[in-house]
Amino acid sequence: MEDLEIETGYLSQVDGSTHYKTSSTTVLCSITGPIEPKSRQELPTKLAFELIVRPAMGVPTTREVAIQDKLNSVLKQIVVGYLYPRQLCQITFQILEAGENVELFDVKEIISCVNAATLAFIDAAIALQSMAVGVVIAVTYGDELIIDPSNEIMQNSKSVHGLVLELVDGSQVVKNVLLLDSNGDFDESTLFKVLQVGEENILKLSKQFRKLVETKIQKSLNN
Amino acid sequence: MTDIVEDTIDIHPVSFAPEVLARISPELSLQRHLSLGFRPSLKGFEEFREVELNEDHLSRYGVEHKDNSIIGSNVLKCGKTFVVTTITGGIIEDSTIYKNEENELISLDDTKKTDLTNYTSVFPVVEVERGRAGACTDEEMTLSQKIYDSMLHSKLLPKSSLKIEPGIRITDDDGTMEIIYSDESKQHSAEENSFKTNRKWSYLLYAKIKVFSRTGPVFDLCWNSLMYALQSVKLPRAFIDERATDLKMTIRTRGRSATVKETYDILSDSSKQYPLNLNKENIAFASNYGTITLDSEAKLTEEADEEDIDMDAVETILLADLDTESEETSVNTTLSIISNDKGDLKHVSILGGDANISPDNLRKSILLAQQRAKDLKDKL
Repeated sequence: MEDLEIETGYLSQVDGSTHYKTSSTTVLCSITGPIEPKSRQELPTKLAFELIVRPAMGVPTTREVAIQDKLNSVLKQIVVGYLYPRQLCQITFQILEAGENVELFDVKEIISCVNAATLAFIDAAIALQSMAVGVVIAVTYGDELIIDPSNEIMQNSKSVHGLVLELVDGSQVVKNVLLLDSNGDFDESTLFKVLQVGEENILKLSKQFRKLVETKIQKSLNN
Repeated sequence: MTDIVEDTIDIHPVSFAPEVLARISPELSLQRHLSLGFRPSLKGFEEFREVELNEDHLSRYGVEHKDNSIIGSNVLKCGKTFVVTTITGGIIEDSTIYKNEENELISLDDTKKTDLTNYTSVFPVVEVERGRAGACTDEEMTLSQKIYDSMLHSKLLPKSSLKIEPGIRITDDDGTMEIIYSDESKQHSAEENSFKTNRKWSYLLYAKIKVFSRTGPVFDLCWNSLMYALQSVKLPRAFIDERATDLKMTIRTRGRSATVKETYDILSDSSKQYPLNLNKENIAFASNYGTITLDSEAKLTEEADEEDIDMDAVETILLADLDTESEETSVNTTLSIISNDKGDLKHVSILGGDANISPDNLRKSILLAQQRAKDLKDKL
């Protein structure tokens, strides 16, 4: 996770945005909201979401609909929805580099989108009750766990896992598992090992995120 | 004035029939049921619905011979929900997958067995019938994609199983036609050698999954029905007519160089077929679970003055095989597990919600998934 490049406030015409680049995957996330929804989107008691995922190549397909579905269930958990009744939050993800064989995987894109969205929510100053931070873990045939694997490793690995945890109390306490997307060939003990190693790495990554937010706020205070 | 004061007004508590309450306030209805120790569907917390199967009555190779293009099928009934899966096939020409970087043709056995690119999936179309026509819903798209992905990653269907070794149809002088397959007859080796092409073809499998009377989440039902249907699939043998084997077409367009393309018309043999070769050890069955936090306020207590309920104690329970509208809307922490009867997992997805997923509940659901897989496997 050393070669992570993150820039928040990347776009000027939206309320919050993040340019998120890992060693292989790049996504651009923009958030507009709270804004006035169309009447069919409006929810009487909480914030409504409109999520759009655009692929790196071609037009959106069922694959992007499935990614949207997973992202939606993660992101609606961390936002304090009741603060914005009858309002809409529009979240758009543009995948710039998938970093994986799009015919076989979607997990690296999902995890990058979640991380980018968490930071974009902070940039958009939308109230959050927790942070959602995720990692991708591949388990090789030698039972070795690899964090943020390359496409080649994923294609030849025994199983691939995407994990997103909900962090509270200064990102030090894990409140819940928001998303686990495990595919391949594995057993219970491997799954628990993945959860454990994933937790350690997510806590490390969240420290990096908090530092980034801190510097950004410091900078805006100084101006 | 005084009349009004003296009038007594009866206030009747409004009560609803259980099914009405379930529509008005699904959350309350569910919590009331759970506090009594069972679910709105009257199942126990970890009880599954019974599954009934009607194996392969629809395909041309099925129990009753039919003249249609379905090559494998299954009808599954679970509770009130029916799932009808029919599998059809198509043929495509492979131009890329059997070539290495130097553009040389390679045999599939040379590449690593572990590489995910050696496996393929079926192309599913899930239709959830709701009594109205129109574009497919997000649920249907997500289900189809999830089935496609899960099957690919479970390494159930190797690409080599779908490879076609075409035979040749020859016509004798007296007009009788005969189809020769290289692996079946040795005497016709001369003809067989005369037809050589580095073209490769393979089958594609399409699955049409129709869901009737949906009462809850249906991913596991669709997946299980597809697993049964795939095991009944037989692929027809394919052949090329001999007149087409030495077909050459040269295309010339005024000075421009055009590619020379031969076209082969691949036909399916209506009398010969072979069962689809699956990685049997990777056949696994799906089940779904949810966790929900019990709301102590919704409890129906026998004595109203029993006030020593610990309001802070959070009790989270695991529900197996989510069904009914109230469970679907109120339980937002869900687990979906694809496992075989030995406890080898092929897919686990957790979507977190309000309720916490404890390690104990995760272990319990994996164990239940294994038992459920064993039950479902034995049904064949």
